[in-house]
This record gives sequence, C-alpha cells and structure tokens, in this order.
Amino acid sequence: MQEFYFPNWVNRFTMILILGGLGVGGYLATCLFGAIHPEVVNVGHQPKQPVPFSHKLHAGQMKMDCRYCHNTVEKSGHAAVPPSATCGNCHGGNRVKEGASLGIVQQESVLLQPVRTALETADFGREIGEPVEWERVHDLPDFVYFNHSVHINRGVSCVSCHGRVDTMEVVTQMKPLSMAWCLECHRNPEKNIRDPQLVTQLDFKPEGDAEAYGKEWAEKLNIKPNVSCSTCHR
Amino acid sequence: MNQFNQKFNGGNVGKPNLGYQDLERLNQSPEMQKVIEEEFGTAMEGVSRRRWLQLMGASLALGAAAGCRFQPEKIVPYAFRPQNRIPGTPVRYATLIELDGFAQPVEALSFDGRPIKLDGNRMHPMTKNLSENSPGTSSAFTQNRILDLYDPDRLRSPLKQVSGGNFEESNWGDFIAALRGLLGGNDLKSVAVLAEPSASPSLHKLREQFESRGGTWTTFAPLGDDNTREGSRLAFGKVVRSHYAFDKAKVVVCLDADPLHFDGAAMKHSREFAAARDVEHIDEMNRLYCVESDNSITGSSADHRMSLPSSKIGSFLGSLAAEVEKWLAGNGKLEPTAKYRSKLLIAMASDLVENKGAGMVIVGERQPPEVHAAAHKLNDLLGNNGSTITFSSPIDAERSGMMAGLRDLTSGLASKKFTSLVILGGNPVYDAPADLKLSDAISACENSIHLSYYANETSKFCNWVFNVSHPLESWGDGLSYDGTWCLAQPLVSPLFEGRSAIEVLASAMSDADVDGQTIVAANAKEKFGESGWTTALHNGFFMDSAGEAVSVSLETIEFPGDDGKWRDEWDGKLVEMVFTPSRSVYDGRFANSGWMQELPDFVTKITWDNAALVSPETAEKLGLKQDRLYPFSFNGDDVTLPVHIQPGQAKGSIAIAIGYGRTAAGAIGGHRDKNIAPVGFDVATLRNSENWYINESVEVTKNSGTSYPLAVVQENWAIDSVGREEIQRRMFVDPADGTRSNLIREGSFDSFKDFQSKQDSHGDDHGDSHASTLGRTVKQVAATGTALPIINAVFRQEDGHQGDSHDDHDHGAADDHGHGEQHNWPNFHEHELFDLTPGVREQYKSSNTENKNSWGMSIDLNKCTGCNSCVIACQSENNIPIVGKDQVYRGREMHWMRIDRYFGNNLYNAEAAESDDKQIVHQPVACHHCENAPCETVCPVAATTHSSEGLNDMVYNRCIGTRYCGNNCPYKVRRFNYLNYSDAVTFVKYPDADRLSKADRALQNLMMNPEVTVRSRGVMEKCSYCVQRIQNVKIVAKGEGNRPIGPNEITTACQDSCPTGAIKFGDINNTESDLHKAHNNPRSYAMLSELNNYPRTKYLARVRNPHPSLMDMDDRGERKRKMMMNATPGAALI
Repeated sequence: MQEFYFPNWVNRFTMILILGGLGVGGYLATCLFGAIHPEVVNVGHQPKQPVPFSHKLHAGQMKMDCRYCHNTVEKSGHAAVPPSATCGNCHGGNRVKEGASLGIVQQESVLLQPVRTALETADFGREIGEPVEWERVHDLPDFVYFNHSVHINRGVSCVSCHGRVDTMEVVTQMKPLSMAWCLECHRNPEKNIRDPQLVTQLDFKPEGDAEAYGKEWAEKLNIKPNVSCSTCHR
Repeated sequence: MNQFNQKFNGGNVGKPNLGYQDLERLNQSPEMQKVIEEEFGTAMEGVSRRRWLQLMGASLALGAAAGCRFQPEKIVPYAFRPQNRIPGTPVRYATLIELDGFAQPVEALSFDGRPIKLDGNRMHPMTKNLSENSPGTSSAFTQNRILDLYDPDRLRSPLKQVSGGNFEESNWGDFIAALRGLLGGNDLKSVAVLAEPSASPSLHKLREQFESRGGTWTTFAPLGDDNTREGSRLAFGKVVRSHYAFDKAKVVVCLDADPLHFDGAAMKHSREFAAARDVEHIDEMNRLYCVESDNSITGSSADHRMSLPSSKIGSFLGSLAAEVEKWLAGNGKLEPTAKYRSKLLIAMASDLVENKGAGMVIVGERQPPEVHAAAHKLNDLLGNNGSTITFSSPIDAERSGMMAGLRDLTSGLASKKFTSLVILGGNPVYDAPADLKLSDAISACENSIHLSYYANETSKFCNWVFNVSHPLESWGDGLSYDGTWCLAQPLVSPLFEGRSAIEVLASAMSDADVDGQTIVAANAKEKFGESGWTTALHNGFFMDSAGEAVSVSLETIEFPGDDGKWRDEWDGKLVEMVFTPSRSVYDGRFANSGWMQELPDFVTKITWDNAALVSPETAEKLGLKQDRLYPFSFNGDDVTLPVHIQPGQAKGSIAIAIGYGRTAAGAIGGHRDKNIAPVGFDVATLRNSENWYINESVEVTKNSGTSYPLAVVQENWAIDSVGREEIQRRMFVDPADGTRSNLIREGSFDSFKDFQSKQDSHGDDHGDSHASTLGRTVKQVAATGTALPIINAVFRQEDGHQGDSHDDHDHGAADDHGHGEQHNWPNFHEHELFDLTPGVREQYKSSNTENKNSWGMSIDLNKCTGCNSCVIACQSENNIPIVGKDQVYRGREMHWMRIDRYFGNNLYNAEAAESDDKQIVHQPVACHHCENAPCETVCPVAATTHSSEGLNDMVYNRCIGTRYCGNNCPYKVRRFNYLNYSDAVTFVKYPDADRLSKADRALQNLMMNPEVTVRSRGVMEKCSYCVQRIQNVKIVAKGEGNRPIGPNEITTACQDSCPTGAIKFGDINNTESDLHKAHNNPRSYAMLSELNNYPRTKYLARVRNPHPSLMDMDDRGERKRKMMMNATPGAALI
C-alpha cells in the first residue's frame, strides 16, 4: 500500500492557519479589552432620569451652587441626591400645609409630577411615600470606598471627576472612574488642587500659570494623597 | 468524616407547620415554594450542555450590549430627609438591652436608619470604658442581640392555635381582644402571669396593678437568684443585693462564683478589677483567690485557683471561717510544712485578716443559701460589709423565690385555681425543672398566652403566641445592677409589627391601645419630673439615680462546721454533676444565634456543643475518653453526653453547660418540626428542682462509648506533627536560647516591682539601652550566667494527660539586675533583629516621621480575662460570617480574632505545679500586621501589600485564593473563605444555606456594616486593624483643617468592647499615645520575634500576685523573681 504524504501546501496552510488563528484571537481579545475598558464602558454613560432635571439650567444659567442640593458633600462620604423637599422649595406645587409654604415654579409641569407625588405621599416625612427613584450615573464597585467630603474639603473640585456638569442638559459620566484613573491623580494631585473655597466653581481658571497655582495650593494644604490599597479598599 | 457529615448536615427542608418562616409569608403556596427553590442554584441542575451554552451565549451578548457595566443602581432619596440626618454618617443612640433582670445600658450604632452594632453606654457607671474615645464596654451576650433583630426565624405575627399543635396567623386586633377578655376585668384571681425576671419599673408598675386586682405573678428564670436571695434573707432578715467594689478590695475570695462574667455587673467588676491590677501605676496589687469546681472566667484570672467540687465549697468555707477566727484572735500562723491546699487556706485567711475592711468573700449562685449566709457573716466579721461590699434593695425584693413560685403555679394550674396563664417571654417549658411537669400544666390550662420573640418549645403548648418586639424596636425602661434608671428608645419601627410586653399588658388591662412611649415617659416623669426627660433620653439613663445603699445588720447564724471534708482525698468516684450557664448560649436563649453558637468557649474552645467536662484524672478513674458519648443517668432517665477532658475541673466533678439541645429554636439552634438537628444535648433529665445546680446522684455508665467529634477550635491550627514538635520544643524555651522565643510570658508582681525600682534607681545611665542592639544585652547576660529558675512541665490538652515533666533548670545563682541592662521583664532573651529588607526596621521603629502615622496594637495579658467580648465585637464590626459545626471541625472558622488559652503549671509553688490545677493565660490573637510580613512576599498577585502606615492591607478583589499567605503566616491568623459563607449563612447552618429565601437574605443584609466589604468565596481575609475606622477618623481630621489625629482617637472594635481595657490601639509614632507607652513598657514583647517579622501587635506579660507563703520556687536569692518558662499551647500555634 502506498504511503500517504501530505502535499507541500499543507505546510504553508498550517502556518497560515496558526497565524490566522493567533491573529483572529488577538483581534478578538483586543476588541474585548477595548469593549470592557472603563474608558469605553463608563465614559458617556447617560441614563434617563425619571425627572429630566437640567443641571445646565440650574447650575449653569441660574448659577445655583452645587451645595444647595448636594448639601452633605462637605460632611459625608455621599454627596447625597437631595430629598424631594429640596426640589419642593421651588417646585412644590400649590400645596401649603402646616405653615410650610412651597414654591410654585412650574407648578403644573407634567415632567415634575414624580416630585409632587413624592411630596404628597410622604405627608411631610411621616410616611416614606413614593420617593423619586433616580438612576445612578457615577457608580463605583462595592469594594471601593470613595469619600466626597475629604476631596471637597481638600481643594479637589467637582469638575475633576464629574466634568462641566453646569453645561449638561442630561448628566453624563465624563471620566472613566477606573483605579488607574484615580491613581493618576493620587500620584500627581497638583493639577486638580485649588482653593477649597472655589471647588464648586466649575468654570474656574486660575490666573497665570495653572501648574504653579496647583502646586502652591497643594503645598499650602499639605496635600499628600495616599496610594496604599487600604485607602480605598477596606 | 462522612458519618460526621451525615450527622450534622442532615435533614431535608420540611414544611414548617408554623407559618412564620418567610418574609413574604407566601411560601406556603406551591408556586412560591417553587420560586424560592429555583432561586438557589437548583435551576442549573438538569440543564443540558446545549441549553447552557445558549444561555451563556445570550448573557454574553447581553453583557456586550449593556457595555459590561455594573448592574444599574437606583438612588432613592427621602422625600423629606429627617432633621440632622446625613446619609452615610452613622449615629449613636443610647438605649438598653435587658439580660436576666438587669438592664445593660448600650449605645446602638445606626447606619442610615439601620441599627448595626451594639456597644456599652460610655457614660453609664456600669459600662464606662477604661479606653478613652471608646464607647462603653459590653459583653458578648449584649452585642449578640443585634443579630436577633434580623433573624428570619423571629416570630412575625400573632399565632393562634386552631387545633392540636396547628397554628394560624392572626392579627393584633384579635389578639388583644382575646387578652382583654382575660385581663380586662377587675377580678383576676384565676389569672396567673409567669414572667422572666425584669428590672423594668414600668413592668413592675403593671405587675402591681395586676396583683391589686387579685392576679398571681410568678417570676422564673433557669439561672435565677434564689440561693443568693435566700442567703441574704438568712443573714440579714431581708433580701438585699450585694455590690462589690473590686477597685477597693485588696483580697478577693471567690467561692464557685464568676463575678467577672455571669453577673449583672460583670462589666463594672471587670473594669475595676483591671484598674486595680494596672501594675505600672499601683504599689499594691490585689490578690484574687478562686475555689471552684469548673473553670470560670474569674478563676482563669485568679492568682490562686483551687479546684474543689461544688458540693464541698460549704465545708471549705467552714474551714476558712475557722481559720479566719483563729487569725482574728491572733493565733494564726503560717505553716510552711503543711500541704499546699492547707497552706492556701491559711494564706487566704491571713490575707483576709490582714486586709480587714478591704477584702471580699463572694459566693456563687449555685451554692446553697447557708453558704451565702456564712459568707455574709464572714464579710461582716472582717469589716468588709459597708466598706468593700455595700447593699441595696432590688426593685422586686418582695417577690417569692423562683422555684417556690413555680411550684405554686404548677399546682395552681393543676388544681384549676388558675384558668388563664400569661407567659411573658422566656421558655419555661424548656428550662423549668422537668419534675414540675410544666408543659402538662400549661396544656391543661384553658387560656394560655405566650408573649415571645421566637415561637419556641413553650409556644407550642399555648393557645396564643404573640410576637413581642425587639428591644431595639421598642420603648422601655430598666434598672441596671446598681439601680440606675435607664431608658430604652426604639431605633427602628418594629420590622414585623410587634409590640413590647409593657404595651401588650397595659393595653390588655385598659380599654384602648397604649403606646410604650407614653407608659415609659409617664413613669419616668412621675419619679424625676418633667425637666430631665430629654437629657435622660439622650444619655440613656437618669444621672445619679442609683439606688440608695441599705444598711444591714447580721442575724444570728452559724458558720458551717470545720469538718475538713474538703481536704479528703478523692475516692475515685463520681462526686457530682454541676450545671453551669453556657458561656455561649447563656441559658439557651441565644441558641438561635449563629455568632454565639460558633463562639468558642473561653476554656474548652468547644463550638456548637456542650460537653461533660471532666478532669484528666477523673476521666482516667472513671474510664471516660475524649470525644465519646457515654450515658449519664439520674432517677432512671439517661442522656448520652460527649466527654471532653478539661484540666482545672475538680476531681470527681463533672460540669455541663445548660441551654443546648433545643428542639424549637430555629434554623441555627435546631427545630424538630423542620428537621433541623438540635445543637448539643439537653440535660433537663439529669436534674430536678431539688438538684437544680448541683446533682450528686448522677451516675455514668462506663462503656466503650460512641465516637462524637466535638468541633474544638483549639486544635485547628496544629496542622501536622512538625508543628506539634515545634510547639513542644517551644515550651521548653530557655531564656538564654537565642533561636526561639516563647509565646507567653508571666512573672510575679514582686519581681516586677523589684525590676521597676531598679529601673527607677538606674535612671538615665541606661536610658539608651532601649535603642541599643539587644544582642549586647543577651551576651552580657550570658556572660554573667543569669539565674533563671525554670520549671518546665507540660500539660498536653489533646491527650488529656500530663506530659513529660522537665527537670528544673538552674543556670547558677548570679543576678544581673545590677548591670542596668535589662529593659524587658520578665528577663527574657530578646532576639537580635536583623534587616532582611533594608529600611524595614527604620520604618518600624521610626518615631519622628513628620505627620505620618504608624499603627500598632498592644494586648495586656495581665488584664485579658478571656471573656470573648472582642471576638463578637470583631464579628459584628467586620461582617464575619459563621460557618457551622461541620466547617469549624474542618478548621474553617472565620473569626478574625481568636483567643488562645494556655495551660501552665503553677510557677511559684512546686507542690501546686505537680497538681492538676493549671494556671491559665489568655492570649487574643489577630493579624499582627508585621512590618516584614511573610504573607506579603508570597502573594503572586500582590493582593496583600504593605501600606505606608504600616498596615498589612488585604485587597479582596485582587485575591485569587492561592492561600500561600495563610501558609506562610506564622501566627495563623488568615482565614480563607472556602465556601460562600457570607451568602446568608449567618442565619442558617452552612450546608442549609438554601433554606433562606431571597427576602430573608435581604433581611440579613440589613445587618451588615456598610463600611466593610462583604467577602465572597475564594478570598483570603484577616484582621484589618479596623481600617475603616482609621480611614474615617483620618477623613474627619482632614476635613477639620488637616489637624493631626489625636493620640488615642482611633479605636478598634475589639478595643471598644474590652471590659478590662486590655487592648490598646494607636500610633506608634505618637509619643502621647497609650499605645506608644504600652510598646515601651518593659513587659512588652513580640510573639515569635526571632522570625524577624517585626509584628506591630505586641503583648504585655502577665503578672500574678501569689501569696508570699506560697512562693517556694525561688527561695534561692535575696529577691524573688519568676519566669514563666513554658506553658502548654492549648491552641497549637507556630
């Protein structure tokens, strides 16, 4: 019986097959890496909110301070989405109850109905009622402990992590919020440090040399960010 | 092992016949049952490979479409945020938890409206903390109550018995209507109440109201106070409560008593005891003598402990009284040639007489009233009454004895004198004496109502079961041991619409529903006026409201005769069985608490079981073997109990903990109707109302015994023979041996004071020796031939017999103290440390790094009583799951902090050293945060790394579970999450995790501390020095203008709970900190320092204060100096 020999082209074909396989595998891996990279996955996250609250209008045009609503940001780890009562200060509808008068701006607006429902059903805090369920935009993994107050009190502006919220009609995640991104600043904080009085001025630009300004304040505030694991992982 | 598994894992999920298992309350329906079942893993069973691939492919596609983001989360803010509520910022509220008739003042930590942790009240005189900046101290029992609140087994609605043993859910309206029918009238002659002891003034007011209408109120608790009360009645003609001033006492004699643990004032006693033994700051140390049949926590802290059967304590007291009288008359003399036990008696008597007015003789509840009365007389004779011991009148001084009351009640029920019975809490069917046949009496009763937190053994016999609310859900009041009026306020609305006992009673005895706040406020305002209410509510108690001291005058009573029976040699027969409270489940009330069941007993280290504890000699004589079941019988009934050999037990005396073998406790404690095996063994048949605490008629049948492995954490860390051998060698460490160090150190107070005075007199001329290379010291010591009297004897717990005893070493008689070189005490060799990693030593020892913290911990072995409070505090703070008996048996318990206990022979007295009586040292061990950590170097993924502040960080999300770090850790403090323990197994035993519904898991999640990551399967974990607390304090300090952190500002959870202030945490670099001072204390030493790990946790050597006449081991020099050369590592650890 005659022995069977593979034809010569098989050698080349095998090589092509292997290289092709590696190439395709590499391509897919790159795609996957790209697809799950925080820069790709997180940046641009823009969920639809139950009430189309416009930061552009409130914080931008009306120049309301961030801390009017996010009032716990200097005291707590959470910046805290405000209670509906804060919205109600202006948009309470025409309810006046027990001496608490609520604002009547846009009192008939259909878009504000969830806020009014929350206020009405909660009965001035005696019931939980039907609170507004906001969608979380900036979401960190559960094993990461981020504290707003320590950053705000030490001269890191909202804009460093959240971008120009005062120009956003719908809040969008601007930064990847990945560990590498956090560490970038923890290692070289200077360019994100400013006078703690000015942290909520999202359009702030230091006069003159921005780098020198950041350095000056970092020195003044004795900013030495920690990069140990337990700083954020507990 | 297989057999073992079958035994403990067994049981199918049966349908509960009481419908309170699930939050949804719907699980009875087949559809719901199916949903629940599919929720937990069974869905994947039987799925074909093709289908699985399809599913996976689909989810992958879905994931890609969703951009692989996390699950979207919602933010749901309040509509109206409560005033001063800052989301994410915990708030503390003062309230109280009652345990066995004493209010325990607590601070409850509430996180976003969820109570998640209990500590003592820092302002309250009972629970003040020795460590500043900590909340008050609290026992494991108190802290454990946070777990009950979220227990899925708790009763969720009133239940009404419809037919033999079947209950249906009812509601408040129907229930209160039924109860009003019984209690609403003005003639309540046929109504009886059976209540747990309570110190609630509001409840007592209701009781008075009830009694004024002719009702009968009976109080019963299995760990009552009948003997103590009757003793004081005999001695003083009235019931008074004794208050012991441990801070004033110079000599304390405890006879079968455990004032540091099983006592309403245990926290205060422990604190004062520790303060009086703060050896650096006192000139005279108190001396604690304990005579007892089983090991108590107090006994393990004693300077002299003698084991004696409980039934012979009376005889001992007779001899002690006779001896005291002799010394008082001036005829007493020391007898150096007498036997050790006689010498001990003489020492006790002479000490008591020498310290007239500054001594205390304390007798435990299980002794008969006559012994209590005799102790009162002895204290009176010695002038202690009125000085170290004061008296007050308890709120319920007038009530009759518990056992007598219970007898009247059962006969009244049998004779139909009572047709209605209201049981307020408790579980009398389980824990009342079996001979009174309470269950028959209750089921014969027409109307029986049980107000209970769980549906337990007693509930089954009642017509109605009402779900009382948790103490953290209700208003209440109560008197603490000292009589201070404390207030309880709710932290959450009742999760299941329960109401408190006072609300139920008050509502039933009036026409309308009464709110708890109204009752409590009315009673408090009646006593203290309107003005103080808000302040008291904030503080948790009314300042200075403790009861007035009552003066007492002694009646004519006789001391027990000096019959000398206690001196008799043991005849080799079983003398008695002693029923002790369980240090885990108390009297059984905490049987459904996973934390408590898995809490190792302080001395036996047994978890998830009770066992008959016998001394090695007793076991040998009676032919009993370790971990085997033997039948014990009494009056013809027998029970098989596992035997555990325990040094320190009195010869012929067997101790067994009550509170086990519950058959209707729940998913943890056992439930017969749900096929959940009970935990441990019920010993009710071995005792009756006559032999309640001590039964001298129990027989044990000697047979081959069935094997019954007990889950003892003690041996979990002795991995193999190599480890064992090393432990063995380490026991025989010679102080001059530079290659090994011993694990624990101990010396006598005399030698310590001597050392201190030498140090003071040398002053500055050796000031630099602290910084000098320690090796130099050693060389000089070696050159001068230090005198090191050593006794080496080994007691091996595992084998239960005394091991080889080693000859005394005597390296000559020189004394090197004159060199002024010794800077550690006792004089042990300190190893010359060398740097493996450049800079490690600098970082470790650095003391002037600018604005940089370096954390460390110090644990004072002299103060630690082994009470286990820190273990539960750690578990509560750090979301540590329980694992179940089977997993503990395999060595997989998750406690980040364990307490090793070591048995050592008496170091001070040769005769005592040869006896069975061992000295105990407790050593809490958690991660040492080594500067040169062996675990860090072996991690392949850098999941455990060193922080800039010296912490050994553990990054869970990086860990891939190789367990190399655990292998390389010399202290064996790393815990591996073998299975998904954190997934709901806090409320079920491990293999039964699927018993919990999704809703119940959600309920459990409410208990978790949100500041700490909940770890998953396959991840290594360990003590983090409470890094969440460190970070939070740092964040606060930075917010306040980047101020430096206060010297003792950060406290760890274990430190907070410690009743004796043994644990110190702080900044090594801050010379102001307590920790810095502790680390520079001459008693300070590092465990296994020769390994060059530079551990940040250090220990302070134990100091004992033996009576001079009992120290015969060092009569070779002019000075007395002792070395603890060895001890048997009970918990094998290298």
